[in-house]
Amino acid sequence: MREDNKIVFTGPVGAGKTTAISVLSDTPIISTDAQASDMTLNRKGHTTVAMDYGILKLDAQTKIHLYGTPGQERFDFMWDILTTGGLGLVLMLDNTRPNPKKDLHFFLHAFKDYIVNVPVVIGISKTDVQNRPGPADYANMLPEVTADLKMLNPIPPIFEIDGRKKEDIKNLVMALLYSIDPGIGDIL
Amino acid sequence: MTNNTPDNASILVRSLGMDTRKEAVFRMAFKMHTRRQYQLLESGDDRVAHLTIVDIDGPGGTELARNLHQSEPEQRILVTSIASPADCIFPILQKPVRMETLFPALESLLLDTPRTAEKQDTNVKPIRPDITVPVTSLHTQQASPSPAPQNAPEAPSKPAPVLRPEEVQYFNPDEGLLGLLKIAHRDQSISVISDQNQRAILRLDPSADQAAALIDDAQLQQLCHVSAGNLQMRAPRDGDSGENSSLRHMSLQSLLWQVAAWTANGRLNQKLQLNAPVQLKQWPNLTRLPMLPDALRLAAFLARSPASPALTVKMLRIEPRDLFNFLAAADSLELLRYNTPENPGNIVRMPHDSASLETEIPAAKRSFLGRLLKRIAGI
Repeated sequence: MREDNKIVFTGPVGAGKTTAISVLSDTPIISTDAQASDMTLNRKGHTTVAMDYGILKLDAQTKIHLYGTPGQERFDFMWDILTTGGLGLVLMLDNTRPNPKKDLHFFLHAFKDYIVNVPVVIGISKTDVQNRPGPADYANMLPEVTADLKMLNPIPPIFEIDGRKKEDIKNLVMALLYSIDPGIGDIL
Repeated sequence: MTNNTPDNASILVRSLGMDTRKEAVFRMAFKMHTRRQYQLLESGDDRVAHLTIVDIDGPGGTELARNLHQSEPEQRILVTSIASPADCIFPILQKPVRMETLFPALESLLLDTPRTAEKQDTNVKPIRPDITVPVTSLHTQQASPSPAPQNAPEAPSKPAPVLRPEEVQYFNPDEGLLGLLKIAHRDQSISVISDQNQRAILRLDPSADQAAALIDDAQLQQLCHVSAGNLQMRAPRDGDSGENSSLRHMSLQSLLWQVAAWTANGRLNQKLQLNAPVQLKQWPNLTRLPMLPDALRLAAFLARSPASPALTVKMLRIEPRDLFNFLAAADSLELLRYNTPENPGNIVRMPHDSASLETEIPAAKRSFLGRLLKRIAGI
């Protein structure tokens, strides 16, 4: 497995990571869903306990590995298993959670060593249910939230997304790729 | 018990000191690893394991590993721990567990002849992530096998568009329909824009970021080139919406973005200079705005580092009209920084140490990214 061909999806429970991976994956995703048994149950009946894994095939030999971390904060011990090398981090935030700024802070810091070398993109879900904070509010939070972080792309893409909409997920991941190299579109 | 590790069969792994969730992590890691087939034994599976991973941070700690070693001296044991106890006689895989350290550690364990505890005391060194990781880097990406030839020439590029300064046309973003929309956005008051016949064409509710158009896109686009004298902004009246069945709702930001691009129509905002730097303060919310040609690339480029319009055209080989329309749209949402005497608080800020324009992406990686981009665009 080439560890560099990897995109990691992270974010809190219910933000839509599994759905986003399933939009991109060419194969049925390998998931470790289980009946939620604690506070998670308030947000969704089943949740990812270990990780999700999907594959986007570029050609017969080249695969892009799509990894989704579990949302519960208590599983952060395992995230490093996913995050060495790779193309970038997709952070998905659930706008209906009580403190999205805290989530933004938590997940960026949980991956602080990773995002030094790879770009991050931020997708905000459920804005149709709760429209504040908006992308501009998140952008305004970033300088304070990331004051102690070194990011490859300190001005990351922040998009409203609906995990069920293919175009939203495609644009989010394409923004990730352009953040690595804005020149790549030139060769399409 | 056997310690042989057949090449084609599964390598059976037993876990000790782990709850089901930790086991799930290893099980998933084994599924993702394709070079060898590892299988984590379920509890109650009586098959003999080729090796055992012991988490010594839980109840029982190192005793679990010691007891196993006493009862099965030939068993290969790898312990995982947050700490690295100095007196541990077994190889330690330090947490957090990484794919890049887990599998080399398991390989190393399989290659080793099982030793007695006494020998391990002197021979086995703890496994640390920082000394066993084959670091993935651009070099690895270039060197790794890939269907794309390592030294593949870049795919044929589009011919570089030509930017002739003498041919660039300019527009004033504070005039016309765009100017009125910007005033409404700035003043945050509910208003209506009407045509010369006092017929309402747009209803605006800036505080809710809402707009409603009472005319179709073609008419709206035409109005972008009508002088402000023929348009009027006023307070809403009863019947402004009337029975108009073609009322279309959108966000005010979306309306501003589109009207700005239509107004620019290939012209450069007169507040910008061809050779003066421009910078994005933040990315436009491109999933909720009308998509303009090359908007993702332009946003990525201008968010990374300040660049003049002339340099942007040159670096991205982008059509000047697409760049100018994007700049107009981004400026309508106040997302641009550029140096202007009227707004000294909006000056360009040079990045400290983020990626610069000169960052070179190896040709092989650029080719790979280009193919991936094309693949995702086609989903």
